[in-house]
Amino acid sequence: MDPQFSFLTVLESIDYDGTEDAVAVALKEKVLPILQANATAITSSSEGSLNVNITGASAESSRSGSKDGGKEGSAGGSRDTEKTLLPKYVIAKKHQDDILTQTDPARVSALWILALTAKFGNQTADISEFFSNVNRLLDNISGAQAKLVPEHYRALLYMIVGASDAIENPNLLLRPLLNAALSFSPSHDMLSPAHALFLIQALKAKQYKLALQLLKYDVDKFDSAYGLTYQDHLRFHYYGAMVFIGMKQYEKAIEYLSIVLCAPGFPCSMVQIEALKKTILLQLILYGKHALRLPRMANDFTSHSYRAFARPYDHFAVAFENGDPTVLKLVWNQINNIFSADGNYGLALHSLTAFRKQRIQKLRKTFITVPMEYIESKDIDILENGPSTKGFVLAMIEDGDLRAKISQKSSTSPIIVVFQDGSVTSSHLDELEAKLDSVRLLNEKIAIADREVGQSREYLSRKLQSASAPGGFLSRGGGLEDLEGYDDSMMEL
Amino acid sequence: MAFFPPIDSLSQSLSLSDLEPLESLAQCVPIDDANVSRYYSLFIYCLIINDDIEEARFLLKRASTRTISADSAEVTDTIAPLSTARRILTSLWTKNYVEFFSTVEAALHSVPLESPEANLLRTLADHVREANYKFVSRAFLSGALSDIAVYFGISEIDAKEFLVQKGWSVTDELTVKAPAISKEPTKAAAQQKARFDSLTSLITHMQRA
Repeated sequence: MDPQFSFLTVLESIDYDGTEDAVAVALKEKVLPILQANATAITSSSEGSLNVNITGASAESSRSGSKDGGKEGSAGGSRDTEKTLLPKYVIAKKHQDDILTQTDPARVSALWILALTAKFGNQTADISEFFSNVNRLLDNISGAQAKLVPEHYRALLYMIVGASDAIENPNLLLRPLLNAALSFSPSHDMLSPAHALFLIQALKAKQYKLALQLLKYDVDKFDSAYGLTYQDHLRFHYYGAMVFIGMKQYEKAIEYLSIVLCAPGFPCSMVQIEALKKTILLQLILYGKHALRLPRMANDFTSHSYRAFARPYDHFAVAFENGDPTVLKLVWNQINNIFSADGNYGLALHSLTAFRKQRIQKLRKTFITVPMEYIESKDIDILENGPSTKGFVLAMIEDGDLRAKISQKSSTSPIIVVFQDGSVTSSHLDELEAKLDSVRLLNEKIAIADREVGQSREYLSRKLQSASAPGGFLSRGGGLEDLEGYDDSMMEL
Repeated sequence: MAFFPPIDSLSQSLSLSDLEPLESLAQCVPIDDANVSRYYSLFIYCLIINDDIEEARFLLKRASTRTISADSAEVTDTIAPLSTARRILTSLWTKNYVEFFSTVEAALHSVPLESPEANLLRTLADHVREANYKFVSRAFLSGALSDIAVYFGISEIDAKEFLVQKGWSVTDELTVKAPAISKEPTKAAAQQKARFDSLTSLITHMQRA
């Protein structure tokens, strides 16, 4: 029997009205083996492999699927790389167009992925035809089926990014990419190959608000079986932090950057060094000081490496914390070119504005009312290009950075600033309720993850190893019953 | 070639839901399409009216640099729409309300009375005045009328009349004084306190658990 004939026959025999997972299983068991046989035949006849042109920051993660073994170059840098994809599954050329024109991508997403990578991967194809087909696929993609062909799916995403960059329009397939990332798992909490790629395209397209639609879900599941790498994890959280910085959600940005800093790895990655630089500036903006130590979960050994690369930032932070504007200005003049070279100039400027604000905010600790003239005597604009003290104070009040009122009894009287106490508003309560809800959900997730880890083979074998060492509970004659209740005690916060 | 719909064919009372879906199309049309400049300017005004000035800034950055150049180079007797929107956005971002109101007034004089631009610009000016009145109420116990009038883009005489209607008092030296705020507990404040108390007890319970 003609293998291709059997492929079509089998394709038609699948019940597409079943659940998404059932269809995926049917494809995996009945169709993919045929395509795998095609691939084996082609590979053995040396017809060549699929060369996928990868451009952009995604290029770095294509080089290896393991943790980086050294510096990789600056995060977000772009580099062209030819990745050789040895196709695991192959659809014959004559069926590629049939798949793309006669089937529903929602039902056979896996085959669409294979057809697209095969048809457009090795040639300078019609780019508008490529985008049109990709748009149809990503708007209707089945996450369960994308997981069946992870390498091809990843290659297709790289092709999309490369093509968007080639026509200098990163906005073009942004919404379909978002849909692809969200459809990977029903609860949207699993990292997919599309997550980091979507974020970097969103950053290029300055679609920060759209990026928040992905970032509103906490991603805490990661499975390397889907072609994901350590770099995907770092990049997703680093680019996510950049989105939050763009939207001025600095606390959330610090949270994402701390995830990058705490990621295990030796030696440290350039992505982590860039994350540290941004973290230092953000801490100055939010808190007026930077943490001398990295987050508790960060690897102590690599923290020394971080510090070596971020020394100018430490230097700037020390001058900032000392509060002497003359010294700060001197340091700024010495190193502002470093901020610019690192792409952190805007953030550094915000830190100088924060320095000015914090000097004024500190007056609240000493005074209830203070003349504007006194504030002018204390106010320092490091770059001497900002608004006047009065304008700056009014702007702080307008933006909610200062709780105060202005009083001037007559046009000849001095302007007095009256500091106000904070009051709890309903928006504060809404925010507090939302935070408590998210903490409750997080506690539940942690409890579930705790049970799963506690029952995993790796954990139990390590515990048994340590227990069988002298002094362990087995040596005391304890058995597995000693583990009862241990799980519960682990769940205590 | 992509076809961008004429702005005047869209709804007279434009909203974000009318404009957002057209952005990807705006990036594909020829740069000399005058509709594109108008589209971006209207989109910016809508975003500001919806208190999304950050997104308005990003939209301006997303607008093709070629579109911005083409807009500025237009030689017409009307003000270039995107450049005007940029000036309005910048003045709001830098809190230069004198510049804001003067630019809006000049733009209103240059567009047809019932055009989408005129409708949105009038709405925008009213929106900013209202927001600024809330700010003035929050920020000033008393102050010079000349300082406060700039927030409304009106003359001192009109500002005096406006504030007096809102309960402010004005001295002979043209200093305004905010109305006294009632310190009696309101029902909303009582509900808020009750809500605050229940959240506090919940947090205490979680700490103990």
